[in-house]
Amino acid sequence: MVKVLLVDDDELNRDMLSRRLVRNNYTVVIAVNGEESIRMAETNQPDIILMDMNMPMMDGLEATRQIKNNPLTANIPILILSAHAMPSYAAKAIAGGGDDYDTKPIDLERLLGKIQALIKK
Amino acid sequence: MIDKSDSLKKATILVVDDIADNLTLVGGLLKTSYKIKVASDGEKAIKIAQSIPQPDLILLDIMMPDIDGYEVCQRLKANQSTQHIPVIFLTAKSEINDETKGLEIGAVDYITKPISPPILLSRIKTHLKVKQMQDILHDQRAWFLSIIESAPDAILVTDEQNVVILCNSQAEEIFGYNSNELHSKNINQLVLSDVGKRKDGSEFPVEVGLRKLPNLNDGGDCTCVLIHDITERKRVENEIRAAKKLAEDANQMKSDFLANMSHELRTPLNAIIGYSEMLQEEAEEFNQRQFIPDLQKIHGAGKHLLTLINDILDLSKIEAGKMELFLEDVDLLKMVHEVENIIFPMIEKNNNQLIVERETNLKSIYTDVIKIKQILFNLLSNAAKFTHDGVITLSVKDFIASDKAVVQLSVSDNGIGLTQEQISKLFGNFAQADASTTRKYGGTGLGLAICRRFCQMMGGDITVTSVINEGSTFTVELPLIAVHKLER
Repeated sequence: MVKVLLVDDDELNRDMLSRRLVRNNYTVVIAVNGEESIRMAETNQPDIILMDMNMPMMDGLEATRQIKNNPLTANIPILILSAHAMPSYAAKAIAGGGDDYDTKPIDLERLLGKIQALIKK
Repeated sequence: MIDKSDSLKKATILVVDDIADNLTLVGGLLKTSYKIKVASDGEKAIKIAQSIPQPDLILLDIMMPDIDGYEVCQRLKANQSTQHIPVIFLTAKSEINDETKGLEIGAVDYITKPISPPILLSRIKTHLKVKQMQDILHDQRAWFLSIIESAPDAILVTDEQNVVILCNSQAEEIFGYNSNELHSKNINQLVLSDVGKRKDGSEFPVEVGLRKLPNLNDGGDCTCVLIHDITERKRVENEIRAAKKLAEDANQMKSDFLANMSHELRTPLNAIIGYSEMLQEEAEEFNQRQFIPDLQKIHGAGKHLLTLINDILDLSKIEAGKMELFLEDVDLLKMVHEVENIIFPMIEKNNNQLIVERETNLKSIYTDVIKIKQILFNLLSNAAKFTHDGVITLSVKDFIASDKAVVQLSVSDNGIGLTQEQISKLFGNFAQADASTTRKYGGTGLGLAICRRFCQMMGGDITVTSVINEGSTFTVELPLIAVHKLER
C-alpha cells in the first residue's frame, strides 16, 4: 500500500482528506505542522508527502526545503497543496522544491492522478 | 495689419496767420483738397491744435502779434498731445537764419512768401504722406507692445550680456520687480534652469522658451525669453499623482483582500465539498440512498460558491492588470475535441444535442489555451443551461479579415434567447438577466464579463446576436497570433 504523509494544520481538512485517502486504499500518517512533518518524513519514510503551504510557525515551503535538504528524505516526492489559487503560488511551490502543486478545495480524482504520477517517477 | 481707412478721409489743415487776406488766399488754394481750419493768432492756433479732431498739418506764419510763430511751434512741440503734428512755416522772412531756426525748433518745412501754389500743394502732400507713415509705424508699435503686454507669460528680452533690455508687465507680476528693477537684472538672477526666483527670494517652477533675435539697438544679438509660471500645473500634477497613488494603493488593497478572502473561503469549502462527496459515497455503500439528493445539494452549493470565488478572483486579477496570458501553439481541432468531451454530460442534462462544425484544415493558433477553453466552457454551459430539448452548435473556422488571420468560434442554441435590454448589459459584472434567473439556472453572472475580458486580452472580442424565445449565438473572434493586451 502506498504510504502518504499528510501535513495540514486544519483539523477538518486533515480528517476529511485522510479518510478519503484511506477509502482509496492509501496508508496515511499525519503531521499537524511543518516541524513534525520533517521528523515524520525521516522516521516513517512515506512514498509521498502532501504538504499544506500555509501553516503557522513553519510553513509548508520551509518544511519542504528542509525535507529536500535531508539526504534521508530528499527523494520523497512532495505535492504542495494550498487554498491560494493564484498561479504565482504554484510557481512559488515548485520553485521552493515541491514536485507538484494542487489547489484546495481538492478535486479528489485529479489529486489521486497527481499522486500516482509522482509515485511512478 | 492696421486699418488706415481714416487716412483716406480728407486731411485737415490748420492755417495760422494774423492777416485775414492771407488766410483767405491760402484757404482758397487748399479747400478743394483738404478740410481747412483757421486761426488768426498763436493762442487760438494752439487751442485748435489740441482739440479733437486734431489737424493733420499746420501752416504757421511767423510774424504775428503777441506770440510769434516760433513760440507757437515750440509750445506745440513741447506738448505731448500736439508734438506729432507736422508744422510748416509759411512766412515772408526769407533769411537763411530764420529758416534754420524754424527747422531747428521742430518744423518739418519752411516755405517763403510769396507762395507758389503748386509747390505749396506738393510739399503739403509730401508731409501728409510722411505723417501718415509715421502714424502707421506708431500704431503698429503700440499694437505690438499691447500684444507683448497682454501675453499670459512673462516676456523678457536680454542683450548679449544676458541683461534684461525689455520686459512686459506679466514679468513684473511674476518676479515681483518693477520694470526699472528688471532692466538691470541679469537673466540668471531671475531664472536658473527650471526654477524662477522672485524679488522676495521665493522660488517657483517655470517653463522657459528661448529664441535668439537680432538686436536692432546695437546690431548684435538678443534673446527673447518666454517664462511660464507652472506652479498651478505642478500643483495639479502632484494632486493627480497623489490621487493616482491612492487609487493604486486602494486597488492593491482590494486585490490583496480578495486574494486573502479567496484563501480563507476556500479552506472551509475544501471541507464542505470533500465531506459531502465522501458522504455521498458512504451513503451509497451503506445503502442510505435517501440522503443522497440532499448531499448533492450541499455539494452543488459548495461548488457554486467555489465558482463564484474563482470568478471574482479572475475578474479582480483582470482589473488589476495581473491576469497573465500563457501563450503557446494550440492545435484547434484537438482543443475542440477535448472541450466536446468534457462538456458533453452537461449538454445531455437538458436533453440537448451538440453539433460541432469544424473545418478539417484548421491552422494552429498561438494563444492561451486555458483561457480559450474557459471561454468555450462558459458559452457552452450557458447554452446548455438555457436550452431544453434543443440543438447547440459549436462551430470553428479561420479566415482572413481585413488583412488579419482570424479564428472564429461560435456557440449557437435554440433556447430561451435574450431581450435587447438583457444584451445591453450582458457583458457587465453580475449581469444575469435578473435574480430569479440566478435561482433558476445557477451561475454567477460574471462568466461573460470574464469571457469578454479574456477575448480582449488576446486581441479579439466577443459578440452576441439573439432573438427572444428563438435562441442566441455568441461569436468569439481571435487573432491567429494573440496580441497580449494588458487590461486595466
